[in-house]
Amino acid sequence: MNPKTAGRYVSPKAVRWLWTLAVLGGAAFVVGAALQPQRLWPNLLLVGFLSVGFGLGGLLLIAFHDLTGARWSSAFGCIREGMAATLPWAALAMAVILVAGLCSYPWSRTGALTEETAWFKRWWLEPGFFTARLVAYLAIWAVFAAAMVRASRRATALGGPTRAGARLSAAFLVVFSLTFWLASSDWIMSLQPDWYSTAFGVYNFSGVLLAAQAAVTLLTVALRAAGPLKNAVGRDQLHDLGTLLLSFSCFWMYIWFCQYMLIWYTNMPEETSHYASRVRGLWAPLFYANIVINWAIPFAVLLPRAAKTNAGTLVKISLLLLAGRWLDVYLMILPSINADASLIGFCEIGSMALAVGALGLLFLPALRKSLRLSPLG
Amino acid sequence: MTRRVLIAVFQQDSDLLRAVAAVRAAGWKIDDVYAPYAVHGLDRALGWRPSRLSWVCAACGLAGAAFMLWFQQWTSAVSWPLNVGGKPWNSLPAFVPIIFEGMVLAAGLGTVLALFLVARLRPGKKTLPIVPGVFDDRFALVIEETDATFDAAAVSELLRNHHAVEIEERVWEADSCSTGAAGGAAGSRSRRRLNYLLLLVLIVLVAANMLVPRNQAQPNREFLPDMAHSPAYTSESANPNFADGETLQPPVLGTLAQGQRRLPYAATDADALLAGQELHNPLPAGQAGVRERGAVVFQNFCTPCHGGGGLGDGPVALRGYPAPPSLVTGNSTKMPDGQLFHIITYGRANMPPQAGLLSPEDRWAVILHIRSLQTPNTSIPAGTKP
Repeated sequence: MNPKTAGRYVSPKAVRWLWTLAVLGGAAFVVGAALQPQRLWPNLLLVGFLSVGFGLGGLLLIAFHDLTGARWSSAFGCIREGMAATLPWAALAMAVILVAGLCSYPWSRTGALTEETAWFKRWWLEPGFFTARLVAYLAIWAVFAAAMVRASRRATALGGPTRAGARLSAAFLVVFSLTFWLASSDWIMSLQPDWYSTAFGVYNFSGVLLAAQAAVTLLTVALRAAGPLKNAVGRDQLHDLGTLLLSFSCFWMYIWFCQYMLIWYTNMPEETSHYASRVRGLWAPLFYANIVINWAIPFAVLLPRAAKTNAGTLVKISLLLLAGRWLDVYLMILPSINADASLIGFCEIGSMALAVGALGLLFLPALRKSLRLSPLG
Repeated sequence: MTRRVLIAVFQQDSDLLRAVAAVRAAGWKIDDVYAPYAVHGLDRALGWRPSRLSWVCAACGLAGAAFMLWFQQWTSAVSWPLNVGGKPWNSLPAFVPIIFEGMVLAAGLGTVLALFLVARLRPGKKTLPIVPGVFDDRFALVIEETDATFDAAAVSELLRNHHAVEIEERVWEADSCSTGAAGGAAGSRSRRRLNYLLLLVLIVLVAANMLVPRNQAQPNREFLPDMAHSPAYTSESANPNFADGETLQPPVLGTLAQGQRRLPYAATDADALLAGQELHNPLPAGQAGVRERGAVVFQNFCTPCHGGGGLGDGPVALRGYPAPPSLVTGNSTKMPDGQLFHIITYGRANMPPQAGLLSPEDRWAVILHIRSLQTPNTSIPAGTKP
């Protein structure tokens, strides 16, 4: 593609719009934090985790594309690359948020871990070790993001997958499955240090995957309408995107239920505590809405073939699923910290708008670069 | 009746797709297309309406899920209620995995069966590939030579332009549409040879198994011995973890079974009198089956001590255990139902409590039977020894 025409598809209007969103969101967040300072850090953790997940989702989809030898999704490689390219910056922000918020974790107070198995948790959650680990996870992901985005762009320029790219992808999947499992346990599960679930890592993985697929679907439809992918994405590709959206939604529900049912069946106090605080009071409507938004509605809507090939339906379901991912993580974090306040106010909306604006502003230059390097035109 | 067809063979799916479009545009009739895998966009190129198999799949899946939901509710809450971990009998979360599996099984099998029915396929049906290689790497396009205007040369010309590697005209009998020329004979011969070989192997293995002497006294080798010999304590085995050294522990004080109601009485004579004033038999004496039930309960649980007629001359009492007072004369006839219920529930003197053995309904039923023993003119149900 001609470098001059590439920029045309990413209009200055979009950039201005994203800046406005980020600035307004930031302002709302400051107001919210002044009103309710106890909601400041949980919301930062929430958007930090979601932003890192956005980049990791891009990397995951690059890896799947490379390793399955897929051709159908080659056309929107630029979207995966753009998502993954935001990861180093999101990782940096997440590192700052976590280090600054170390004292907000309940286990950082002495005497918080009283149960018999606490010797391991005390050792594992030692602040120095915790910090070293989080830096390691984020650094590893940032390095993978840089390398895999470059390999993916090279593959697009060469017109096919490269062996080096496939090797990198395979290595990433192995490293990711270990580090992400540990990271989600470290950062989110330890907010309730007496509770544990061995399914927590894969549960978060299913959420990241679902949100990434929703983001790719949304951006594909948007870029198809805006221009760059107009001729490259047809009805069959939309059908495949819709099918994957449906199946990842079912996968999320499957894993959600795996975790829930074992805890419900075993009925052990140290395990049920997690759900006990979420199925009661003001959290209960959100708890059930989570299932409806992330699975029931997408499943019912996307089941017919016609819906999976309809761009408008795909956009609506993708937006719903992105909101659902936010709600899912919100329900993981907030009830563990503020057990009695389920309100969605300035803090929540502001932090999310800020994150969407910032991620968009990081995404667009990377997308532009990918488009410039690709033979699409 | 015979049909004349023209078969073109391609090596690329993209060539096939273009040829299909060109043939349709020229107005010739396509009979069928054979491909080793589902070619993206082929059904649209052929102008076929979308497959209705997905509807069959959805219907079968829903039916499977509904059946499994009903079946589990029926078995665990209606037919054979079983307390599992203190959960309610009708516990939806516990049913979900089976509902899910039932849905997948019914949807999968139903779709395959529907496909077989529609395609008139069945296991063991003899078919030959229409052209060799159509199961591996070749694509066959079959065009029907409908009428006299069909110009085989023109069609061949068009197909060759789309890189057809072979073109062949064939005459089909009406009922052998998809049967191709000979060519599968060699394959079926080698398959038959393989079957004979496998049969021989089976015979040798069975014979060897019979020839090896077996010591019946020796137990078989156990794989995964944990499955047979559980490391868990059984209810009667010794257990060092409890102070009294036994696995079976009495329930925690105040534990109630499901559906059981706590009685506000203590095991004292004073409370027995109180129960006599406050409790009344909820079972109507005239209701069919109630007194029969009481007779059965009396026969099984009371006769060993109280005797068949309630005189206190049961086999246990005759062998030296302190005899209970007569149920049909004296004090027992004056006691109200509630007091008898208290005595059956909590025991009295040498009589142990029966609460753990008899449900409240059975206790009330047996009281009705005792009343009928006390008034001899009431007929005693047949089949019970007086």
